[in-house]
Amino acid sequence: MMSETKKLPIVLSVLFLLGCETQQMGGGPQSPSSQTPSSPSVSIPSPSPTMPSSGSQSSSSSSSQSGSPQQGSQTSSGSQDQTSGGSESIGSNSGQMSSGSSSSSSGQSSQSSGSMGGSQRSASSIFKDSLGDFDKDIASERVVIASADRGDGMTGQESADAAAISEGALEGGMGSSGAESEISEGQEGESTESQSESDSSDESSQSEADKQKERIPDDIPMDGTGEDVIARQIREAAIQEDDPVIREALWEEYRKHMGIKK
Amino acid sequence: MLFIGIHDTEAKTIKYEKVQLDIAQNEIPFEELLDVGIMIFDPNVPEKENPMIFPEIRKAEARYMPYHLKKTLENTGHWGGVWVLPERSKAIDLIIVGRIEKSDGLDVELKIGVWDVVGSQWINKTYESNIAKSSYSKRRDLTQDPYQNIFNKIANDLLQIKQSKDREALIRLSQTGEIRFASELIPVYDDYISKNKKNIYSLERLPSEDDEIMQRILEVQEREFLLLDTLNEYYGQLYENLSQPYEDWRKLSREDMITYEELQRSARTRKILGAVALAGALATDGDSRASSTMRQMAVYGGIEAMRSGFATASEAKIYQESLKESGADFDSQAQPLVIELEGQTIRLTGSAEEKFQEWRRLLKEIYIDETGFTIPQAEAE
Repeated sequence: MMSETKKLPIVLSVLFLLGCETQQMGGGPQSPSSQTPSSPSVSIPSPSPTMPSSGSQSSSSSSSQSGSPQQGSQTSSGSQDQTSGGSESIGSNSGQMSSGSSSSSSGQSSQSSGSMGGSQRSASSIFKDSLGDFDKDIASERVVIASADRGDGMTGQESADAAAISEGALEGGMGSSGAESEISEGQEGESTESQSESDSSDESSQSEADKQKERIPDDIPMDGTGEDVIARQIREAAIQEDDPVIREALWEEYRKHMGIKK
Repeated sequence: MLFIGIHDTEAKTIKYEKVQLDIAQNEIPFEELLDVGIMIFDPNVPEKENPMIFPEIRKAEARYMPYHLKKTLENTGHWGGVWVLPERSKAIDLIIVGRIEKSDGLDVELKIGVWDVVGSQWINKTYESNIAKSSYSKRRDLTQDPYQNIFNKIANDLLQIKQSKDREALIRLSQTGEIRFASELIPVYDDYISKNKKNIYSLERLPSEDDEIMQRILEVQEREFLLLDTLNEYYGQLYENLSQPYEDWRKLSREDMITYEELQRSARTRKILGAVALAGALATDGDSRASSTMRQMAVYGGIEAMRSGFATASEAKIYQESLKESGADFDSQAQPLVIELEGQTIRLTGSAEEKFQEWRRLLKEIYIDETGFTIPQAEAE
């Protein structure tokens, strides 16, 4: 009796474990890729098998597993083994498919695919990310167009030129003020005074220039060397953009246009 | 309504017509709205140099005219999205192609072809219009292009054909378009449509409403429309920038063309009359003093008429030069704008093409993963 009562929890736990395994085989969201589908529910090879209408990736994952015929299960599970073998392989795959800024978002998708554990999850999340990237690109393109439509097109160019000049003047000014201070060392403090006066009057414009400088990423040339009209427009739009996400999208567009690799 | 104008008693009579645009009186149900794509027109620049055709003006017109046709169609309220297209798209229900046969401010002639996504031809016709002086008046409705009649005619013809189709036919047309677009991305949707010997597509069946692949394909289609919207912003910029100089050129060109044509006609008449008089005089026979005097007068008159004819011809040549000059001015104005637009188009379509290739690949991958079926290699290719 005692031995039987001791065995009872063991039997129960074994039964529990078996139950868990059966659930996983039934196509749960965390089913391992090595599991084979229990029974195919779709037998007609139709290009659009009826999908669960919920649209969630985990449910579509289950439908692909249970829905694949015996013949196709090899291919299906094979492809899952390749992709769901780890988020690294998916990440590298997405790296090939999308470039530039999209690689980071692909990295996110590979993480989520790892947790969800289905290859079509990763492909569909890459797809979603890619659509998102495209939307971002188009949004930044439209910002540029809108700024040109506002008449900022030419003034953008002019103000970019002005900004470049002011930056140059600022740098030159600092150099010359240094030189002046060297020269005026042995002189009366008049010139230094006037310098400080002009400094105070230029304070706001200098802070504006500093703000602009801060908004230009390190890999973008400050003086706008080799820029054409479009690049200048993008630069101007990026500098004036307050939303950091849109600003970065604009700089990305600038890099693409100018052929700058990040 | 028909207006008749005469701009010279000795010149030909020109009929100016005013075509009213058919505008929707009620809101058209969404499912009956067809999307329209207007390809950039063929500028039809001859290989052999023609002094009266300016290549850059034609290139600018080839982009300007489709954009104005787009605006005209949009104003009717009978259509869905209307876009100018740099290249063919299978995502759009109706495609308009055009070739500029003639455009000099006085006469305009456009060859227009329209096909739907099923492959049926709607229109294959040459549209002509004479442009009245009042079409360039500053007091006119400035939203109306001087060539508005021709655009209104095209829009009205399109509408007439659309209205000849019933609601179901229009819905089926859009659905066939969606499936053609889907089969472009994943060839497995080829089974949903069939094509007859005349290359006309028909819809065999529809995907399930829950078909997630199809939903993704429609998302891609939305991106195509988004891209077209963006490209059309650039076409819109060119349109706005060209609008005034192009109208000025057409107005000037029209006046010069009228004078040039009249002078040419007058010169030709005078030359012919002079030559006839001369020939008649030389053929006259007679020994009398009177007949000799008359003969001399006829010869003199004939020579004078011919001389006057040649003078008029050289005057016409001056107008031709004036036409060339004003054309060259606008030509150089239009060139950089067109080049810039082309640069933007190539950049945008190029990067979008990469994305579409990526989506095509991903959709196939998702399809295989979700269904467990493979896409046959021949179809996949």
